[in-house]
Amino acid sequence: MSRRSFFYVFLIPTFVVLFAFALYPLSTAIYYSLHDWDLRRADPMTFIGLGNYLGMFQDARFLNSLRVSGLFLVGTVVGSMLVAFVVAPFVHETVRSATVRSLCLFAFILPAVLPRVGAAYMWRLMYDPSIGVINYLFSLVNLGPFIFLQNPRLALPSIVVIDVWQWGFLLTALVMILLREVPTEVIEAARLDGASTLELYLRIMYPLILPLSVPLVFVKMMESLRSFDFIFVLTAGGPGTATETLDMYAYWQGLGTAGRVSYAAAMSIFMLILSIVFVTIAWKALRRWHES
Amino acid sequence: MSRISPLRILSYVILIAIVLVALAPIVWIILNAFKTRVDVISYPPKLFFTPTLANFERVLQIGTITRGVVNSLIVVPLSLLIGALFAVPTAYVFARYTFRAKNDLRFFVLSLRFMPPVAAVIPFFLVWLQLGLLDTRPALIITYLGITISTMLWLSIASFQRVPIEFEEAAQLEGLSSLGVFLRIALPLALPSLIGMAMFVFILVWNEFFLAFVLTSRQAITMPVASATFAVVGMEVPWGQLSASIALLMVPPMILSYFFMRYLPSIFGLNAGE
Repeated sequence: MSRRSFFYVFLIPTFVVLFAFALYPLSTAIYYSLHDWDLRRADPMTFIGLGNYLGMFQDARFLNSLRVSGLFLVGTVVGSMLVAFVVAPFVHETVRSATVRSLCLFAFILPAVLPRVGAAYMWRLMYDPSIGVINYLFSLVNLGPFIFLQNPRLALPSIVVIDVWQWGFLLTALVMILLREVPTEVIEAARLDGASTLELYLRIMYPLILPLSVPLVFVKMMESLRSFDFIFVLTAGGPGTATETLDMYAYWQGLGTAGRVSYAAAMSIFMLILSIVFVTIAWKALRRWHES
Repeated sequence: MSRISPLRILSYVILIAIVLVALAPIVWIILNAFKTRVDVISYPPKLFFTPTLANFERVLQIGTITRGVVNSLIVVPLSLLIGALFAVPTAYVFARYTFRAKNDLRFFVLSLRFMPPVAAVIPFFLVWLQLGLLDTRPALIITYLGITISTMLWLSIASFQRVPIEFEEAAQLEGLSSLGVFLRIALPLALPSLIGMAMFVFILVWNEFFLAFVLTSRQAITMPVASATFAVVGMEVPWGQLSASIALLMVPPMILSYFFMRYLPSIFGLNAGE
């Protein structure tokens, strides 16, 4: 096989498949989103232009889901980055042996490789008001019992905690890998100048690893926008709509109970546009910050 | 520095506490899987008890769970294997050829990973419904190809870039065709890292919930969906059996993660110069 034919034989089929995977759902979803189609009614689809999109912004439940998604995104991204940037340096400085370090690394990766569904059930059992181990620990110091997941004010923070448990530790493991890669000469030079550990981190380590961890922030952001499985098992969006994220609401509208396929399609297109805009803005802002 | 200062002991105590927070929920669900019905709902929660296999025996008699295990063991490896057949040679093309649309196509592959599943799932649902393939394994495998091809392709490019190009050039001088260079030189050299990436994608698809939840209901149900749905929200949850099914669900990711651990930096794009 010549170099040229190898190129075409192995590039074109894959991209034909990938384009089909991207364009087919996308164009169908856009098509439905411009129509009115309700599975509960027998009438055919009617074209309504941007009606579904305009309707979203008069829908209080939609606006609520936008707010919940935003809170969840900010809470989980900030929370897990904080955990990573505090725990990773601590472990890095405490443990010197390579074997113990990789054991810690493995322990920190485990929560994230578990199925989200499994993690969600684990924590639902631990959060349980009558038999849960967390309320037991609180009762030892005469607090509680707390109804974590059925209380509208506690439900969302409780879910954020679980996400931070999974992602905070994974990011910790990744930041530990970044710290390991910092050249020893840099650290020794700072030590010779008499820098304390805190100074070493503030002046040298954090500035060195922060730009490198930008991809992690992006991966985490995209991940936080798709938290359906998690929330479905824990609260299914409740109590009321206290934990109903965008994808959860779109699911209930389109496939769960309501059957408003076209409305749900409009919401999912809106979500796609939102995530593209969001990623582009964040990407540019972080790059500018990095350059300055 | 003295060897055992109080500060050092304190640091280690905190370290152990941190590791406990990471692992305790996992250990807890595994312990619960081995508890009797009385032990699992006893309060205060029991750390020591007489273990029983009853939950596992019961769970493996539930049709939904056994179907879930079988389906997952068929759907996940097949979608990964077919995905790799498409993605791995294409990744090699990306690593070794220069062409005009390369960066645009690369960005396109990356953007597929940004697509919210909820945007893809409604059209797929309607297609499989119209074709009468809803709740079948082929439909799920084809849907998963979108994930496996794009992720495998994205991750494998770096695996091939790390292969020293001199080996390939030498083989070419000895008269090997492009296909020969790929099959006999590049592929074997990149294989360990490719397997690491494949393990990661395996876990990704093994854990996938949303698409399987919408596209399957009974016959083609996968393990995460089976475990999630046999306890309905609002009903009394059979915690012992649920824990056992989750323990089963967790086994493959936990074993594989030990092996793909060293490829984590390239999976998350942390390698310098990429």
